[in-house]
Amino acid sequence: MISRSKTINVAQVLSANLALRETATRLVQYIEGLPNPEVVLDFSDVKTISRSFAHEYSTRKRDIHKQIREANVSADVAKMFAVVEEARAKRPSHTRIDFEGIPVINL
Amino acid sequence: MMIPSMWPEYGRFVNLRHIARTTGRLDMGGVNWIYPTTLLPLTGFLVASRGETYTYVPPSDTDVADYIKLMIENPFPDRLNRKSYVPNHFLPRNQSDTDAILDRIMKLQNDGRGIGGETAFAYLIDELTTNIYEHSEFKNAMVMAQRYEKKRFVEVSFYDDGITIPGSLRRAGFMYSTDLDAIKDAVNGKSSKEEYERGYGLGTNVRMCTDIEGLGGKVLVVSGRGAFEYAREKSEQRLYNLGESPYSLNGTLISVRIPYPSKEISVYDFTE
Repeated sequence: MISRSKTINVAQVLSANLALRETATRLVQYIEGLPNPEVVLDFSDVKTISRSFAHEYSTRKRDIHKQIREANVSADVAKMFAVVEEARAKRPSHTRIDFEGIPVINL
Repeated sequence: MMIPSMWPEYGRFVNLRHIARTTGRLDMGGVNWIYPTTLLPLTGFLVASRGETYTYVPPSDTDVADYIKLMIENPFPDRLNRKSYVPNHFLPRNQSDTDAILDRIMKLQNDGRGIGGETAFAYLIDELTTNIYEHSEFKNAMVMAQRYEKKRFVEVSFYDDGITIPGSLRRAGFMYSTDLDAIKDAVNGKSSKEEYERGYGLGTNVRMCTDIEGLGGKVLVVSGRGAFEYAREKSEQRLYNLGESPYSLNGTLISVRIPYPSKEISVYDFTE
């Protein structure tokens, strides 16, 4: 019999430092292949997360028909998820690097 | 303490490559110190030149000669006992093997302690490595971080021999009269990927690494026929149109120098 919910320790199956988009893709594909309708992602040992990973994970998570819940998310990791969601909600104006007035050297 | 410009170190690579191409001799006899900004593109040049014969003249300083030999010939050594540097890691084509390399760089740099903290240092290496995989279509790519405690800075370099930043944007349909214009656009958020939430990695890192509220360091970007070096002080900022000169690069080099030790900062002050 398949249990309704499965818990995955993210740091154990991936890394304590979540960096690449491709890794996020693999995680969601793995979740998609599980027979359990609910999945709990345990972030307790995750130390860092890149914006790219957070963005890819959030984007792909929206497209799968499975209930995913994140647990034990550190404040730092939660902030990165929030940054991604805020950017999705509205196109932010980038704080630009101002290149005006910088000397151009033609070689 | 003022962090020195990285442009002369890139120029050192350009000079060595130019002499090797014109004389057939890779003459490092006058090299008494080498930074990642020189070593990574030089390694890339040697890897790309396999099959061509260059007479190699090693540095006269045996320590430097041994170091370069180790870096160029053996990029995957187990050097965990030497904590002052990370060898130049070649990035694997298979991304699933990359996490272990990035973890190792984090460990060897004390999880970013003294380099802006764990989150900021991870953001730097993770996002710029992700960019290489996402945009460059590289054959060879490398990452190297080295801490110079006496010189009081850390240098982190990323090199790939891919289609360049301007090449990636042009392939996505954007038009530019110069490579420099494309690079400036990429820094300010233009991405070859269609989704509008993309295109943050480079610009956020330039701001985080150079801002006075951030790490207060310097960033050098060389890609195709364009380059810039950026720091907080206007007097240290330069843009370069490289044209067909020996300075142009078939690929992308991004180097960052960060004061060491640097206080812990919040990357979220720079993300949008």
